[in-house]
Amino acid sequence: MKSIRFLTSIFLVLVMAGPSCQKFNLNTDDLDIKLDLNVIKTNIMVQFIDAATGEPVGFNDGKKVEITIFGPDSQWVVNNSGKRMQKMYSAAGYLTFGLDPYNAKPTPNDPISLILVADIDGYVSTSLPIFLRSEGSHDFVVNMVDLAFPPDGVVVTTRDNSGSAVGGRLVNDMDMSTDNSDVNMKIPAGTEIRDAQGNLLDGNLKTTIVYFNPVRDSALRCFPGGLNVDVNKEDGEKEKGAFFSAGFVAIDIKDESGKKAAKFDGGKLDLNMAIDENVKNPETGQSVKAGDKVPLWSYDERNGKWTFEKTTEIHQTPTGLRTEAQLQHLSYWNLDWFETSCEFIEIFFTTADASKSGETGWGYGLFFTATLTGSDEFRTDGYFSGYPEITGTKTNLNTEVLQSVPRNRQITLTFHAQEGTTPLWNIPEPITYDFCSSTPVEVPLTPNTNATGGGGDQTLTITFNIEIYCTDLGAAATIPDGILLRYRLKGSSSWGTCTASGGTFTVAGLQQNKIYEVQALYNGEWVPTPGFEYFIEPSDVTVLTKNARFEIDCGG
Amino acid sequence: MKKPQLLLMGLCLLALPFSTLSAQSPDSVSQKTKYGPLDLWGIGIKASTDGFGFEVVKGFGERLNIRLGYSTMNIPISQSIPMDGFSATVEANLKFGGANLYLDFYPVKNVIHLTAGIMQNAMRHTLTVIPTSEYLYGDIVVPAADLGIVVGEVTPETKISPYLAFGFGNTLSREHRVSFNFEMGALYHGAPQLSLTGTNMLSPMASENNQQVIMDAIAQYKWYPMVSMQLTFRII
Repeated sequence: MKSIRFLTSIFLVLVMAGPSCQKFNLNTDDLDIKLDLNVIKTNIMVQFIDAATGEPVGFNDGKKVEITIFGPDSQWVVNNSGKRMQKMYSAAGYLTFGLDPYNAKPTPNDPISLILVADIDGYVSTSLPIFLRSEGSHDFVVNMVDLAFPPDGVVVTTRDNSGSAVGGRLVNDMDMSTDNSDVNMKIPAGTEIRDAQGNLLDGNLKTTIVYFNPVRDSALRCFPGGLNVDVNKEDGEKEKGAFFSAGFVAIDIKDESGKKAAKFDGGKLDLNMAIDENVKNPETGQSVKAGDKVPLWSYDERNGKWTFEKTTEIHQTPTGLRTEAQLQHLSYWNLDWFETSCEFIEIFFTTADASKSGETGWGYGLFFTATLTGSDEFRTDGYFSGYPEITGTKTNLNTEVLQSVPRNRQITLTFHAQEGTTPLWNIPEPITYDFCSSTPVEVPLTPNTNATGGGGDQTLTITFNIEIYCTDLGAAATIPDGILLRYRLKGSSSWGTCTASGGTFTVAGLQQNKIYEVQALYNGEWVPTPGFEYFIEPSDVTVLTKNARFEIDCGG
Repeated sequence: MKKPQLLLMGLCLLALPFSTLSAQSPDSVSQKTKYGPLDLWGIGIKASTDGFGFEVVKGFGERLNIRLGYSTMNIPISQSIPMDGFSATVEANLKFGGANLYLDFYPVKNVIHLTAGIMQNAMRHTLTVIPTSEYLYGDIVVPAADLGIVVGEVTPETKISPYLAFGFGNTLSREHRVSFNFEMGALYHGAPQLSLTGTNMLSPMASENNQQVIMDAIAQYKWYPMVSMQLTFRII
């Protein structure tokens, strides 16, 4: 019986007093309670670049570009926290936003159309039409003209007392020319001037005339609205296409209270504009000459459409070729020949490195410029963000940035990297192509050995897994796709940028024994402040993966 | 813990009379009877903390039984829970059971027995968190179906688990056609293994860190308590 008692005791201990009766001890603070906030599937990044310096607008002085969003799908624009926005502000020259995925999913059959109007004191207001056919990340560049330091080919003339109005009517004739007389503007006395809301202008008038010479690439780059356009044609038909400009003028008249002239009544504005004799008439293929006719278009920044106004004729004058028109409203005025464009352009970046298949993070930001082959005439420029998904050995990149390339013309694409960054891939050679061809464009890439130390300098590549912790929500999340991040050597003045993808971002060309700073652009602010710092150990080599946690206010 | 202990004591008291009754005369029977391979076969039904099932029982002499059986049990549980920003239903399914091979030894004939054996442990508990309401991400209304799910699955570390028990009564009476058995014991399954999977917005909940934190918390539960009642019909 003793043995039975002994065994019984053991069993009872096992069953009743054993581990199963121990207190359950789970510390919930140790658990990752977070959501994947990658809700927004269409992300848009816009860089606002000073056309003269090439620097992001407001990068050094903290100025913010005010962006108002118009267009049929503008109601579905959201910030990084999913809040609907109609007006946003850039931060250090960058703006990121997204689309509500449940109400605005861009597809080839149901594209999304937006117009961004960019305003900032001291710059020419401009706009960016955005036309999207697919989800993912889309990157755009807006070149802006600083009135005090315009780029080559842009002439700015401002008169503080160009005229005066009493009760909305001009007291005297207004007659003003740009400093080089490229543009002359006259408005007769007695003309009633109202702003877009119908309010009468009053008091001293300040007038700014900005003339863009289309034979200068630097001027073409900052054409407000760009050269890829939506137009209302002479016959009323709407069409997408490309402009070939003979000249562009933006006239801005404001009264003392800041009301901006938009409409004239009881008189007209006489506009007389020079035509550079080096302008090519795309209809004849020759330099423009007296007797050539060129359509005049006005711009509605609310819908991003150019509307045909009239056809003007070019005349020979003692000072050169000129044309004139009488206008009844103020707008951007553009002398352009219109050509139809390609509907859709597919671009593939290819790599011979099949091991990259399935990866999404290349850490590769790439600017491009598209010019007409032969003449090198600027057509458009933009930016490919660095995280395409590779299938096999090629990837489809962000084709929306190259829309409205003129039909039946060869285009040359040239590439360059963002200053201060080390791409994982070498900059591709220029590509010349008929972009309306049915064959997709392929751009071959080769690995950049300098990115990971193979090129001589001991540089390395780090992929950061980034978690954001919303201090206002008390919740953590992986960083959503499309969020722009910037990084720099601590103390350096220049930042490199790239966008987050799959909760990570990859930076190449980093050096050992140095401290780097990283920030994310979240709802118009660079966060965290000060930036997340990361020290690269002397022992760190080649490719690393590190975790980073940003504590930020998510604006929830 | 008081209630389970009282319950177990009660069950023991209930079992004792059966044990006592069935232990009145086997000594005299065993002295007279020799059992062959075709003798002492029984079929039992059982209910235990590891499920409901059946057993085939073979007796050897007066003090040994071998049992081969199978049991199974599914307990579905559904519970609504509020989560941060949305509500969800937690659907759990607790699955117990498996095949067993036990050896019973009767130090005191027909009264109490010691049991040892192995069990092919089919325990598999799943818990699924299913969002049932929309989630507001800013002004974006994310449908419940797009929030994803989190699935946790707990399985034993050892698929073949040793079993030890102490019982009252008999799993195969030598005298009566029907016998009753009550036993208490434990099944060793090692530290429970947890696998977490998640989809869509809830996918970070299924992180490796979370999996490890929870596994560390449940690692102590290496023994599964077994309480079993069985009714056996001797067929030969």
